[in-house]
Amino acid sequence: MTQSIIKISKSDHMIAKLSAIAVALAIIDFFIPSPIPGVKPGIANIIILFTIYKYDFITGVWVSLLRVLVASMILGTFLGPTFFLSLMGAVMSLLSMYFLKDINKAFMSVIGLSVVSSSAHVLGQFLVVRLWIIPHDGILYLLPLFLLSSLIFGVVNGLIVENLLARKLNG
Amino acid sequence: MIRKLLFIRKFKTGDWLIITLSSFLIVLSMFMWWDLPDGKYIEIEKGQSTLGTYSINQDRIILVDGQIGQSQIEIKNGKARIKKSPCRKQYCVHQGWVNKKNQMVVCLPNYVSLFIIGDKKNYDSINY
Amino acid sequence: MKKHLKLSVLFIVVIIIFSLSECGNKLFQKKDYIFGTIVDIKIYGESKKIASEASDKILSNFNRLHQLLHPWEKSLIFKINKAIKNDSPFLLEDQEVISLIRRGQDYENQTEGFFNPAIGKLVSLWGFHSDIPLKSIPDPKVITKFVEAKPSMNNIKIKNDELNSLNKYVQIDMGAYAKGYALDQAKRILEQYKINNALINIGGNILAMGMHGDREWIVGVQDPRNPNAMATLPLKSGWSIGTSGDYQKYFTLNQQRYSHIIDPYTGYPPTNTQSVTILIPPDENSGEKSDAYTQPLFIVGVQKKIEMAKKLSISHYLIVLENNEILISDELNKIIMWQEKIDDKKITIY
Repeated sequence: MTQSIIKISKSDHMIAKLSAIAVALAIIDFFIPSPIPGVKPGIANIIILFTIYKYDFITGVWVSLLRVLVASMILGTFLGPTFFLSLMGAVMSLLSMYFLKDINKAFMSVIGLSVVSSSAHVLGQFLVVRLWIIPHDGILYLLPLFLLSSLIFGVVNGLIVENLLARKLNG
Repeated sequence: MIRKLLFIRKFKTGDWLIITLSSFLIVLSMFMWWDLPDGKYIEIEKGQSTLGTYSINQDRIILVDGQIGQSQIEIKNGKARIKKSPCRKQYCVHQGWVNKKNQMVVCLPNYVSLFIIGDKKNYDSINY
Repeated sequence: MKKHLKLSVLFIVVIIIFSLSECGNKLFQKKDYIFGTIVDIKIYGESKKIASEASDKILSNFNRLHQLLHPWEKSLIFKINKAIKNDSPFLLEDQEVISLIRRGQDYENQTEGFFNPAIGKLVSLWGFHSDIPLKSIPDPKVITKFVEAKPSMNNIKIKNDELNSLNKYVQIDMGAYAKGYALDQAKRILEQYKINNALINIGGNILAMGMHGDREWIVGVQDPRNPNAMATLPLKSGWSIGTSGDYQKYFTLNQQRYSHIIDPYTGYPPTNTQSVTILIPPDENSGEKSDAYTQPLFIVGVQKKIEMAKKLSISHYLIVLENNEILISDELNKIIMWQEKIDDKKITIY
């Protein structure tokens, strides 16, 4: 028997499991064909939202950042432009959740949070693209399209999380 | 059937508020950035720097050495496109021709992008 | 406690976003209107603090020059003019003004008197020392009287800090080279601040220093009959560009345009030219020359323009004649980029 110095808590296991699912979803997301590069359903956000609602915000942060890191390593984009895009998206998305997560659930469900966070994700990515990758106002031309897609997928993802939460509570 | 439509009930006031706000933002951003007169110039950029501004009313092929190889940009009949690109996904090539102001073709892997600009001030200062 | 945490996080995020957008911006720009002149300074790749300090210095220096050289408001030049009119000697110790007068004499001699800053009386007679345009043409007899008096910068003698004029009709008006001089001074100020990349525009005259990142500065040249650029061209480091045009200051009477550029030999504004644009290579007085040399080219007859440009060693010139004909030097033609359809215009390359 070897004694482990680092104690692996129950919550670590949970974070690992959730992150694994998030990474898997992120990779599926990556390979979904899209008519416009960058317009993606962002299904990994389902797990992040689920985690925040089911557990707590800090766990959500862990899952989100681990997802960005591990998915980029698997896809070979680590430290490339795509990595920073997805990191900035994740950070902005988490920030928006941080500000809105405590709003009364009777007033706003996870659907609203899903739309806000996916819009924040898009805005974060545009910030990186505008300032670093393509420093030209011309890219703003694509912003309405990205925001529209984040609205649609935000609603869909939000509904899925809503269902997941309901099922877990029942079962 | 009715059961399926019940998901509408899950939307709370706050959700509708957010959806309305988001739609409003989308429409606003469309008005702000989607005016679509024909462009007059194309601007080619590599990474942070502008390689040049070219009139769109000419037939010309411009070769750009990007991050991973050479991109071929074609200007013809008042339109522009990326004709050949060394990138794997070829998104930029598939996008085809652009000619409206504010339109653009971007090749992220090769750090090459082209923008259609309108009656833009293409000088730093004017002598009079 | 928790509320405060949220607020401070929001605060930090806002600051980060602002500082991010700040570092994407390498171009500093300052524009100000000083006494009806637009001073536009662009500085590339310097910290905002230094760029802002240097441009404030340029603006305040321009302000100072204005108060020193203004031809009809209480300035040193105004006082000199008054003394000349009264035929009395003037104690002049300002070395800057003395050297400006001396260079004015040089330019007058080089241009066979077509550049003449001593004809302030004529400029004033034509109403260009006032904001109100004339309602009728000046009396031809008075014009003839002022022309025949032959005022010249060479009439001015400065000895032992004392200025005397041999001609009572001399009235100094440095309007034709003061802005160019201000450009050369602006360049010196930027050099003091160790700024290498800048583009300075004082009332339309432009001087370039260094580059805009990895490309040259691009300047537009205004179409004399439309409010847009008819052409653009790269302005290399140290070069200046200047234009004299009949559209800058003028008034119209009976469909006839009278510009502020007066022919010292006739006393009337010439009517054969719309604009003259020249480029001057790096030189101690590059900005000043780009300002001063356009006037003689504007005034001399169409046949003599090219000859005058050669005499002044101007290799880059663009002249738009009244009939829309364009005369351009080969050197300038090689770098100019036309922005308008010029197929219908007659262009002659020299």
